[in-house]
Amino acid sequence: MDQDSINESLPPLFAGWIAEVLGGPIPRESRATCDDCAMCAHGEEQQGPQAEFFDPVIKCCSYVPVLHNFLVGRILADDDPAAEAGRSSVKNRIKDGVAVTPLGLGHPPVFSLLYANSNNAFGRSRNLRCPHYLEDTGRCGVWRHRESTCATWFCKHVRGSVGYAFWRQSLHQLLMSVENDLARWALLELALDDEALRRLLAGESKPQSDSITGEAIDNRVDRESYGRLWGNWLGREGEFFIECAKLVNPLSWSDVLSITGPEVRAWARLTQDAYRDLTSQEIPHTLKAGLMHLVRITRDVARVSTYSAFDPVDIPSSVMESLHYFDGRPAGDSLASIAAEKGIRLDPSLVRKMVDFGLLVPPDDSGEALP
Amino acid sequence: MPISEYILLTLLAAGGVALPDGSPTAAAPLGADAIVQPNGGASSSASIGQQTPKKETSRLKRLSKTRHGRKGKTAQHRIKPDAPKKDGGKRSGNL
Repeated sequence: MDQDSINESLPPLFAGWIAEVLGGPIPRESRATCDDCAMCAHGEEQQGPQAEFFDPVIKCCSYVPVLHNFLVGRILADDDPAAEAGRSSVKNRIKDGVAVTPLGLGHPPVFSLLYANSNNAFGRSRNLRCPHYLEDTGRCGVWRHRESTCATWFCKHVRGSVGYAFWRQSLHQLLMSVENDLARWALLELALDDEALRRLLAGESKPQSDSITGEAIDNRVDRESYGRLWGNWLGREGEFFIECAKLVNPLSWSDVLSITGPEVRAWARLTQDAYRDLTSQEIPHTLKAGLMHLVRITRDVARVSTYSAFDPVDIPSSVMESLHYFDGRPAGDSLASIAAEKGIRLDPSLVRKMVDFGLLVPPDDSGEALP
Repeated sequence: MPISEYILLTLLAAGGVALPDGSPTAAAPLGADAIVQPNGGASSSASIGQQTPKKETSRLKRLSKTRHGRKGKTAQHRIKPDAPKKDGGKRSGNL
């Protein structure tokens, strides 16, 4: 399938499961345009503050994905010629052996250290660029099998914080839980030996982000530790990953629920709740102005950031000057006062958008600090 | 109500039209497109607090730190490989 047509969709494996969870289509995130990156400067923007934009040869691919064993297997088994470059990049990671365990391909320690301690490097540092990024096309080499973080991350959401709440605060959590549980289930199904299992579950494979050994800095692998983690599958890593994929591929959502724990069921319920919000146009009865950061202001327009620094909005001064009318009274009364005193009418669609982006919030909103 | 008056009132209610007698045009309501999502983000030099633009949430990072605190781990323990920092803490998929 063409990447464009599934841009906002989930990878096929996840899509089948989530269709059962939600029972309906997920609205398209049309503002996050991977092929014409909305985080990159266009035209006159290239003369503006570059700290506001991503590097076009990196985009949001300054993140090394954690690929759980069954996803690695799906990539290795994908014989589509168009997937060759991505397949090779995964084979290279396996060959290097850095953070490669029966659970899958983890974060290399050097990446973890830099990622956790860098500032304003996301979308800008070429050293953080994903190994599966295809330089010639600017696309993802493992798109059809991308993991939970990459599958649910959008720089901008059509419905602002409502979209963020669905994708990042709900569906992402659900898919991470599923990935973790299924990867561990596969270890049991493939009879990894006890010593390797003990070491994996004790967390010996996890990278450090706050300390790092000289060996890890140089991306050298301690072959003894590596061998203990792989146990009876040592030397057959690729075969192991493909077997994991064969186990997971035929699972329906009900199969997944029978394998995974209560955390998955809990996140599934919360994801359904967030989906209801995402597909609802309801406006709260009473509203007040929310918290926002002023990015810049001109005579006509104010740029403010609310739920995400990646997704600010430009607001006409007339609308900004009307925000104080929303003081906890019924929204209809606020709108009537704005019309009477300022001579402007705000359409319900605009009020809905102001709610989506946190410019207006219900009076009982806790006023939690902005991210 | 004369049909012409009905049409006029309907048009006014729908968003405004110049009145035949030349009186001021009723303003059209501002719709959702009045608010624009520009390309790019808010630069770190702008007053956007301490947000670190990562794919993961700082909330989860804070939670993961709290988890260590509850366990009372020492610095020595923290260098062991269950120290979740980003990417959703221990559930992040750190393998």
